Amino acid sequence: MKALLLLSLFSSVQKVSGQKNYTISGSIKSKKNGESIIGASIEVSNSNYGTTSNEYGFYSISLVPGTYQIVYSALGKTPDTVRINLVSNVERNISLLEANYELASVTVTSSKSSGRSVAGSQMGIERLSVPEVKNIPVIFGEKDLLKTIQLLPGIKTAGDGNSGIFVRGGSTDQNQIILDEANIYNAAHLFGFFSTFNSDAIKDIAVYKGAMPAQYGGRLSSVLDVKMNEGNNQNAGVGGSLGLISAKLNVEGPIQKNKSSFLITARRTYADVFLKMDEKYKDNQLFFYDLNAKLNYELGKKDKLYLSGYFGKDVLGFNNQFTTNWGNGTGTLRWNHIFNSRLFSNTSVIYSNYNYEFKVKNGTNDIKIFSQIRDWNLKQDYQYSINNKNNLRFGWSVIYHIIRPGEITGNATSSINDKIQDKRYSFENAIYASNVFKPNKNLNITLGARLSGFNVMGGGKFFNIDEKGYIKDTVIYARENIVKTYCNLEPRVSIGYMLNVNTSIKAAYTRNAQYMHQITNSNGSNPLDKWASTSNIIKPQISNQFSLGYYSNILLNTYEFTAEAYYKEMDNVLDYRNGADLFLNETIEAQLLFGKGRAYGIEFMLKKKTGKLTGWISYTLSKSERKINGINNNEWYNATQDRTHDISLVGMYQLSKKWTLSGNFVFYTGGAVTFPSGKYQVNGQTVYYYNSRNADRMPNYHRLDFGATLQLKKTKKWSKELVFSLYNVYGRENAFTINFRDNKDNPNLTEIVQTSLFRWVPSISYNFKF
Amino acid sequence: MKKINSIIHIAILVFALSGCEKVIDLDLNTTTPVIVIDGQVTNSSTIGSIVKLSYTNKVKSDNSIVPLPGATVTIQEDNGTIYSLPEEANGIYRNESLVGITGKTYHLKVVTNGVTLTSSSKMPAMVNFDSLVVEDFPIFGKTVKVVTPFYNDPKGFGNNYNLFMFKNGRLIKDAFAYDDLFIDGKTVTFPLINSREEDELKKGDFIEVVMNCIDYDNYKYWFSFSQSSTGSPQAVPDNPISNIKGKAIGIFGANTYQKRSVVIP
Repeated sequence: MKALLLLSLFSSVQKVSGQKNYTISGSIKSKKNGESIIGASIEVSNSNYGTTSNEYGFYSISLVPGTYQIVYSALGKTPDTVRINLVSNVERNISLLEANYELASVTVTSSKSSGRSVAGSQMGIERLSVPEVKNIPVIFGEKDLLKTIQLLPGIKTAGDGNSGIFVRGGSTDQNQIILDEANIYNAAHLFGFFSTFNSDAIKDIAVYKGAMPAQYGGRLSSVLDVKMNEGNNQNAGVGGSLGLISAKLNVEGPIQKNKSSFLITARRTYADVFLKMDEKYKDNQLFFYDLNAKLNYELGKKDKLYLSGYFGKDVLGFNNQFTTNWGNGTGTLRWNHIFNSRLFSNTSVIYSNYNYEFKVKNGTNDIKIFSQIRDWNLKQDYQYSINNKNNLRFGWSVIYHIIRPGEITGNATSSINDKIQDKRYSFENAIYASNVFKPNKNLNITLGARLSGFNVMGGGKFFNIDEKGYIKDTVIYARENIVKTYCNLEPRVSIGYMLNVNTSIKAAYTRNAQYMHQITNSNGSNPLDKWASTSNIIKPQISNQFSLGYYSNILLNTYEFTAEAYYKEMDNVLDYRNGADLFLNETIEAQLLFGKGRAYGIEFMLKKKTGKLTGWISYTLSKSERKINGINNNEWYNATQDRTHDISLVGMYQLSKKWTLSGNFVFYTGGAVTFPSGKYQVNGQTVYYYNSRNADRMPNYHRLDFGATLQLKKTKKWSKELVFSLYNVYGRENAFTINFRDNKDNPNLTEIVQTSLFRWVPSISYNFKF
Repeated sequence: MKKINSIIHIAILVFALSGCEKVIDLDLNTTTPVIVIDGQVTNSSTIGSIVKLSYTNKVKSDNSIVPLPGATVTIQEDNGTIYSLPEEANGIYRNESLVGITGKTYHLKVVTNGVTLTSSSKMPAMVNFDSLVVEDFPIFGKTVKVVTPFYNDPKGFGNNYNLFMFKNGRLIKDAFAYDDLFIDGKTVTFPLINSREEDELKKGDFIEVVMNCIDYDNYKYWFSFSQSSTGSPQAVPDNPISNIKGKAIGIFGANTYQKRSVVIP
């Protein structure tokens, strides 16, 4: 069955004619620092042939013998044209120079390297690199890609100042966030006010909102593929910044010039230092730190090793009464091997860990709650350039998940009995293949599929649960036994058709299966939100997404207009039962309800890509609903992330050599919430009566931010700049929560209280590099 | 432990130092009034058995009860005696001679305007409320006084508790509901921490704590109430899980009743 499927997928390959092809291959790097360039464009002049560099900067293009002009280009780089007389396979490594920004009119941005592109069949993707967003103002002046992508269509913020995102009506846990291929289970620091991604360590972020390529899998709504910098292999350097909240330092340099390099970046907040100065708050703790490190080493012409790691931790404590800490740690070892000019291989061994610990101390009670999720992942990926019309990618992946769902322990005098929930073990496996077929100048077809499987392994208690959520019976499975196996075939199909050289239309269908689930009952990011694996009770979530897009370059690529529409249906989505106990339970599974979801919308974006003024306007009109047995009388209701309108306006203006100004404005319909429609008294207490789930709206959200960057000094060796920003310029009090309570002075009356977080948050930071 | 989410919540507000509160007005949906049952059988001869019937009111009206008068209210003990609860005041039905007995199940029946509403609750074994102790509790840069009830949970699952606190005779609006999944057989010493600043305990305050031993359905009601229905919910807002059968909301419980008091030193 599997073999048959793979055969049918690649049937397009067989149709190709038999003329002998030769290959041009190599890697594309930045001349300045030797960093490999992802998504650089390789175009054959006066033809429709072309390709892009992969995530390691490698490219390969097969052509019939002849003489060709090859144009190499990338965002922010000066293009390079090479003439090649192709009579045998050619290896050509290219180093591109930085584009000269002072001559703005010369700056060329390739339409292929930016995320949304007219060419190809890939749709539903947004791509951002750090230089592109460095001038966009952000809260606390902390450059943050996870926050900046919220200004793009179809990606909505989970809340004010929050790094959590909702993509196309999906929940936050339906985003796969990977850093150098390692899963980041909680991408938030300090409840989401910061993301785990230190922008000094990050090269590039790609967000797939739909039409995920077959090598990705495991989440319903998006893939956020974050890539770390490799480190400068030309010159050693030190950089850093001092802000109001945090300080950063990074060191990078060559180990062997042109061949290998390292990068270490570290960041720590120091708000707690100020807290300590106040006698009242000196016993409180509130900080986070993180560390990124990467090492790459060329073993030979055909082999390269990359070792990268991330470690981050948040600590929050009040008077030793409550202390909580949480953090991610990841490690990735990758081996690139070039079998020949057409076949590129990457093997990865990946480790990922997320855990939290919560300690409560009151009176004689010392209670500790602990939970952890760990992954071991082995992945093999092949990229094979078959000929000038077909590019094949295939591979497999095995992930071993170990979850410690919840462990509560107390000291001898505490009121609780220790309770260690049994560890959960599982295997998440996949094989995939995908072929990009370009039969002619205008048509581009990607046919792919991913076959995913999940084995729930024994090693503890498994439960049967009745419809009220009570445990009916318990079965114990041995460690080596498979409790349950799930299997899903996930087709990934997309078609792009160029109407003319500047305009194209695309369509795609994607199915995704999700085996790891996070259940949350808070809006923002709560570090204590739990991850649960698919089990005998929790079924894999499945989504089917259909999308349709229109792409156009206007006025010689100065402007880009894109529109995408999508319809997504989701099965087996989860929510908490009413009255769920999130911490003190026998099993999380007894606290859950299951149902389905649907989301649809249309996204528009107009982007100005060149000139002194750059920026974009994006608008999303969308709907997201859920239908869960046991909620809202089993009727459809608005998902928490349902927001009808969402508008973002981003502008950056190069005022002079020294000053860059920027501004952004956001507006969105308030999120769907449940307000009471009545009240009554029971046992002397006011109880609110709720009629239907999420039928009300928070007030509309809007905000304007300004930013300015002053380049202080720039020599070959030194660069210093000051970054100013003002978040929420006109001090809009956007609602964070709305609560109902008895009036303090007249408890016989109800008052509605709105809490808002940020008004006028100014910030300044100093960045340096030498 | 249910406070964990509220702690996270407070921490967010503390972190966002500029966080500010303001009273606003909203257009709210209203629903046709729904019947509310607030009934209990206790083992206390002073409290007896009381069932309050009312209707839900508009959120923007005052908190006074909209009574439901003229109903027929009866409570049957196991399969035996049926006690009737005459209407003592508008919407308040009471029978002082119905004193509940541990281990017996009480069946409530309310008939009003042709609608029949029923519920049942079994009075659990009474766990002795040993003492009430005042303790210091440091929180956010200051130390406040809290009261801690002490009791010994008997070995074996199935004990559930609900505690209410009164300060100088006035109810502090909070529910403290516990099951014994994690405290089975232990000496329980969880302090009752108020969520509102104005309820802070001061020297000389007279504090009374009522401990009800309740059945599991009552525990679910009060736990879900504390999570979802207080107006500043920890979880997604929803109605507490009711044990009333028929078109009504609320709770009926056969609860043991004990009260301890202490003066804040």
